[in-house]
Amino acid sequence: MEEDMEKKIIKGRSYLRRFLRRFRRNYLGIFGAIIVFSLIFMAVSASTLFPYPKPRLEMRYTPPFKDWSVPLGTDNLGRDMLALIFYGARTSLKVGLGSIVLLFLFGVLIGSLAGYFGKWVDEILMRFTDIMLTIPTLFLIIVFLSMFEVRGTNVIIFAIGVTGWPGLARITRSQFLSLKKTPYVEAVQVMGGSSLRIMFRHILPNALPPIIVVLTFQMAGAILTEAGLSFLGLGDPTLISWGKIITQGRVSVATAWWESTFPGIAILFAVLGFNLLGDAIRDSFEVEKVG
Amino acid sequence: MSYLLKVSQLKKYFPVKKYVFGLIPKKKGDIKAVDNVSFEIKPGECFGLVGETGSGKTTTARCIVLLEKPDSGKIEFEGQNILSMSRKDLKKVKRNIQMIFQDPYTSLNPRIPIGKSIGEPLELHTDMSSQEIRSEVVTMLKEVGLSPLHYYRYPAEFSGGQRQRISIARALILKPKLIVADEPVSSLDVSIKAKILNLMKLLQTKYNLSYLIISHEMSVIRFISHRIGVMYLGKIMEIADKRSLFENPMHPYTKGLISSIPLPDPERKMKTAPLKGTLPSPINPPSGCRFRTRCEYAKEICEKEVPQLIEVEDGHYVACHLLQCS
Amino acid sequence: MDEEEKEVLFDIRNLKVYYYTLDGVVKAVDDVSLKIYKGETLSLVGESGCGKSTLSLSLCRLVQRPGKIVGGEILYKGSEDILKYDEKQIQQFRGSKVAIVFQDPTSSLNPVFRIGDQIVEAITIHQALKGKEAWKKSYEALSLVKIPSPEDMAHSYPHQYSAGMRQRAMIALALSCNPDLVIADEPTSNLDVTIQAQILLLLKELKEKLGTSILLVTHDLGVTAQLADRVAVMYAGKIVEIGPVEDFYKKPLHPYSKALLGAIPPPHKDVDMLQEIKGEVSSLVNPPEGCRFHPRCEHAMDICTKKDPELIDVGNGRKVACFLYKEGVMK
Repeated sequence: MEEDMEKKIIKGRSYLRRFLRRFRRNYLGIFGAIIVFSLIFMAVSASTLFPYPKPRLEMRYTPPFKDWSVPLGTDNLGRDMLALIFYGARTSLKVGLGSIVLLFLFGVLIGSLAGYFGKWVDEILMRFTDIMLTIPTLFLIIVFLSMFEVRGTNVIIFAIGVTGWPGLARITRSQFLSLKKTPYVEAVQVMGGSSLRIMFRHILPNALPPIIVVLTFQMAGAILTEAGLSFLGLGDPTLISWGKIITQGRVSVATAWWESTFPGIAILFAVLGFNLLGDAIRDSFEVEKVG
Repeated sequence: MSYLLKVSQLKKYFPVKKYVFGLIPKKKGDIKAVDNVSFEIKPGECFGLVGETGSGKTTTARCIVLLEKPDSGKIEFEGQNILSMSRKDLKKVKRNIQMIFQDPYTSLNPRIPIGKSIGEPLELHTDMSSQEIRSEVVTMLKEVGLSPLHYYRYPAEFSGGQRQRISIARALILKPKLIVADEPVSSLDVSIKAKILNLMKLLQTKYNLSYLIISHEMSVIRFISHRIGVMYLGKIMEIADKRSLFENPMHPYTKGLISSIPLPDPERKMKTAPLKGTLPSPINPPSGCRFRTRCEYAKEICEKEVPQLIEVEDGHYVACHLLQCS
Repeated sequence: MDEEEKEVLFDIRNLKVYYYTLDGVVKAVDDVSLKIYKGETLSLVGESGCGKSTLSLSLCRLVQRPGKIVGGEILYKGSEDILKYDEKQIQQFRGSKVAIVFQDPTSSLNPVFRIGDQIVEAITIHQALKGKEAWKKSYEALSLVKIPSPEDMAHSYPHQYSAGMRQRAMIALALSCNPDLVIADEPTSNLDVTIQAQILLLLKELKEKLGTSILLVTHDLGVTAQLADRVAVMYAGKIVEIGPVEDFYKKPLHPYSKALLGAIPPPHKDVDMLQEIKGEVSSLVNPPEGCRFHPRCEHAMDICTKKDPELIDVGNGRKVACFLYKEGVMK
């Protein structure tokens, strides 16, 4: 009897399972997840499915759904649009993921320190954040990019990461401010738990839902920013990116609509997918209420 | 006489700021939440603090568990002042002072299984392995009337009464000497309240615990405490044994408080309200005796002098000019 | 205390109020019949989740979704069924015939309007009074609840009132249209003891002065004893006992009532241990078969697990739903 109980307690319901149970009910979230997973699939399988899209001038401006070897048509250089979009997903995902990792590090660290310690720490960090908020981000990124000879994706990621964190820091700070006064945090203080333990074991997991939402918005924003920068000609010149394809197609919109339309749709879906997924994760993360 | 906890001349003011042009902070005054409070708790004793909202009883408790930093005064635990202690010594003391919070719905981290929450104090203060911690937690779960099967459940899956049991288990797991409980049963239903109060009383005798219980409910305090302090606007008005406080209350405020309790007996109906008016503002409390604005016996001296807490009978302390003259 | 003599104000018959939640159907009020007489204070006692608040809200049809009144009738003054009123009729009914005093006066008063404005609003909706006259009426209402210098206080905002004063203002607001019934849902639970005593005495005085019926919803058996004429105990969506207050406290009949009275820490004597009721409050989604209290009852018999006991009259105006008792016979 006793032993049975001991065994049973090891098998508890894990948090992940509870999370998945709630997530399954969220159809929009599942839709978002499908988009995000297909993006990942596109990025991973690009080079296996398609050899590098070489220009084939004899096939320039093939309209979509005509020649099934190039289902989405070709661009002004005769490159397969479908392959271009697969390769573009790679750039977008890399920029998106890379920049949110940086954003998370900067934003959450600064926000949590300011919110938890308060007083002068808060004052200094938040005034710095305010200053960052007053600088137009795109302007700062452009200045930043123009400082470098070679504008690789890493530079773009870094530029977005360094300039995009203030919003996240503010959210994190406000979460920490309200959560540090909750009884369960005070209980750990009374127990003698260290500040690090309180901040990252007790406050951060409870502060995550709104942070996740902001992060997915930022992810979508990063993809858009990269597309915008490439559109302006500030992207990585050696890589294929959705923004860059749109720029190329811009001149021939009237005759070859597909060249800028398909990458546009790709951007739309990528942004939508991340936003839906973020919302769903936030909702499934909420603590179940009883009564 | 050795005391487990001795609080002397404890003071905690909260500054109230006014903003000039909405920008420049200017001090407007102080909320005198705790003003020169002294009392002591013996080992194995349950000390109850009663008072209305704003009497400073919760702030006093929060100062003792160091959630607030007192402005002045001493809090001695086993003879050492915990306000002037090194970090290392403090950790040893913290092990021996645990707290139970009022709201069982917010005092447990909703994202951590309750078994882990209960075991956390052991993680912090001992070098037990996770296996040992778990078996200790399982024993404690049984002790407070829960099942080991509950170990991996999350707080949301429990009712209010069960959560309060979890909080008690967490406070008890280190076998502390003092447990500070801030309104431990005031958000619970009648039948659950009875169970939790019985449990707390049982555990006290079993582990020879000392309690500091904060409550606004006189009947709860009467049931569980050995000695009781009555607070009003940041000051202690009367301290006495349970029996002598309830059977022979001396301070007019204590008398009013006791006769304000609605008795569960339709044949003993209240005729007039025992106390008139409401609590004055703690920013500008009345001069002299703070209770004088609601006291029917108030005299001239009450306005001028602050009455001191004086031992009127054996172990019965009262702060009132009426009793000190005679 | 003959039942026929008193005028019945509300006659609730077989009322059923269910909440349709994700976890299933919560039968918050399940086949409850109850009479409220004119001028009496009836106290509805029970622990949280027993359906007492839902029952009181359905008297003015304020049950919120996912809750729904699914059966029964509520007869007002013996004739009209308020469950058949249309939207306009029920709006006129609320406030003028039935008014509610909630537990938390802070959130029940609109912070951006003066107290007087809020009372005047209620008066102009339900009575043919306007402007100065309505304001005069609001001063009267405030002086009725003993708010000092009502002419000034009517022009103050809720945050300028203390908690006790706010509850007084709420009572003034409820009484301003001379309703037949005031539902007081835990009216003193958020107040300090000394203020609670003041409010209880005020309610008692007003009841005697105005002859208004009060439905007092509370978990506090002390408050009930002080204020009520009759007590109705609810458990898991059902009324298990009704009776006059003196008899109830002298000799509670239902095992649950007995247990409840034994579980409160007595304020006037010292005891070693409190009586406990075993188990937890039964679920309203899957209530136990038979009597809902039987898993926690010390006297549970075979029949209790099978049949649901009816509320039977045991004389003296007392009714109890328990197989330990027989019709008309008091043990």
